[in-house]
Amino acid sequence: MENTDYKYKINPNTNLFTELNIDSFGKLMIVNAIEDEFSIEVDEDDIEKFATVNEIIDVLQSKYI
Amino acid sequence: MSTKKFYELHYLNDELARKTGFNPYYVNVQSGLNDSLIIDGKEFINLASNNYLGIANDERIKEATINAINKYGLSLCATPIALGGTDLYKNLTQKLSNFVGLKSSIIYPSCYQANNGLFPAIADKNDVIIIDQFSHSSLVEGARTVGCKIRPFLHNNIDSLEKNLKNSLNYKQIFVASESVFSTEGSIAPFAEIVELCKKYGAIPVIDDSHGIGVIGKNGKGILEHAEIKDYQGIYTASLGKSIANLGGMISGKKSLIDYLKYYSPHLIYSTSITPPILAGIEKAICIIEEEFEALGNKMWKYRNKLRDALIKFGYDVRSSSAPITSIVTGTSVDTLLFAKELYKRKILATPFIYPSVPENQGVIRLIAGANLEEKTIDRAIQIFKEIKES
Ligand SMILES: Cc1ncc(COP(=O)(O)O)c(C=O)c1O
Repeated sequence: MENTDYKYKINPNTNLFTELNIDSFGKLMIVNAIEDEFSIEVDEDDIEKFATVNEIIDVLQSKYI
Repeated sequence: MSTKKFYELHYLNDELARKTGFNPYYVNVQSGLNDSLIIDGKEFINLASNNYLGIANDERIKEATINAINKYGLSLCATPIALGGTDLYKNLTQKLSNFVGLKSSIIYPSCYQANNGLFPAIADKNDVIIIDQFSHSSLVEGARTVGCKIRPFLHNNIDSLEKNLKNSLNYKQIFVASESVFSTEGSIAPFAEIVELCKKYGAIPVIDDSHGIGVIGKNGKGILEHAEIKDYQGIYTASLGKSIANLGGMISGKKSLIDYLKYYSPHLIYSTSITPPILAGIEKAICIIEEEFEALGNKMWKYRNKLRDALIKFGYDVRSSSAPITSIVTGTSVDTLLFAKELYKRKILATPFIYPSVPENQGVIRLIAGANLEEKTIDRAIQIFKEIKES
């Protein structure tokens, strides 16, 4: 069921930066949370690669998980 | 890259100024911070300076400064480690340490430089810096130059901080950095709790008290007094260009660390020392604050409350704030500049914060009513805000 309480709707193709205005620290917080959750360390070059949830999944699956 | 290409890439995109027909930055001021401010020959109500206690134009500070010029001249033309240090410097560092309740201090030419230079001098790649997500650019950029892990935590959120601490135990040293009073909105960090968490996880706290020193705490002594922190084991920095009404940035803490920085902080030792007249001015400002904080502080808070209450009554969206900083939410960069333009037209100077100083579309107009203003000036400002709301 769709949760309409949120100010922003996120779907797998939402661009986190251009659509949700997430800044560089926001991006770092996302990466840090992923690293904590999966006990991995994401390379800086890979961090530059993603902008959507789908792209994060692709990078994680291809290299880390 | 060709020279031509380089210059094509590095230019000012002034689209926003053209769109709004207004550029609020780099205004051309022709007076000091009196009750009114002269810009391009016209009188303005100044709500844009960080002159919290209103002492920037105090006759006693001017006199102390002039006396120092007569004795030492304008500059010793040397870095502090060479012969840039004077007896003024030595006495002032002790006075500043006593004021904030710490053992030892050094003074950089600015707090931007102090914050920028701190982390590269004390941290390395094997450390982690956990930092409030809204911390000042000087702390953030300083942290970035270390090349170590950086973990931003949610603004003033103790749970988020602790989660980050728990996940940082593999690093050689953990630092936790934050501003005390957040300058764009006036929120105050829960610093007593931050210090407790630092103790629990063996982290070194670093607090930038630029908007707290001379502003918060019962006697205006800043965040350590405000949060009732005794025997602080961390690092303290503050600008001397805000309520202290001069220039410079202090770093204070344990004597052993300060002694280390005196020889190992390139930002200090390779930069011309802060000059004697400024040192004398800071010294006088501290004396005035020690003696007159109650009266000056009361005036500052009275103006803050009066302005804030009126804005809320008129229906402005005012950010919650625990400091003498009142920020009106204005949204997009265009809307923020348009509101600043409206104020400017009506002879109020305020500070617009737009992206990237604040997150995108979360622009604010910041108002600081210094104790140098007269009460009738605050009343006039309030009347102008009312007229804008009604127009
Ligand atoms: C929170 C904070 N830290 C540091 C600075 C830099 O201080 P300074 O002006 O002394 O370089 C500023 C603003 O100028 C500030 O607002």
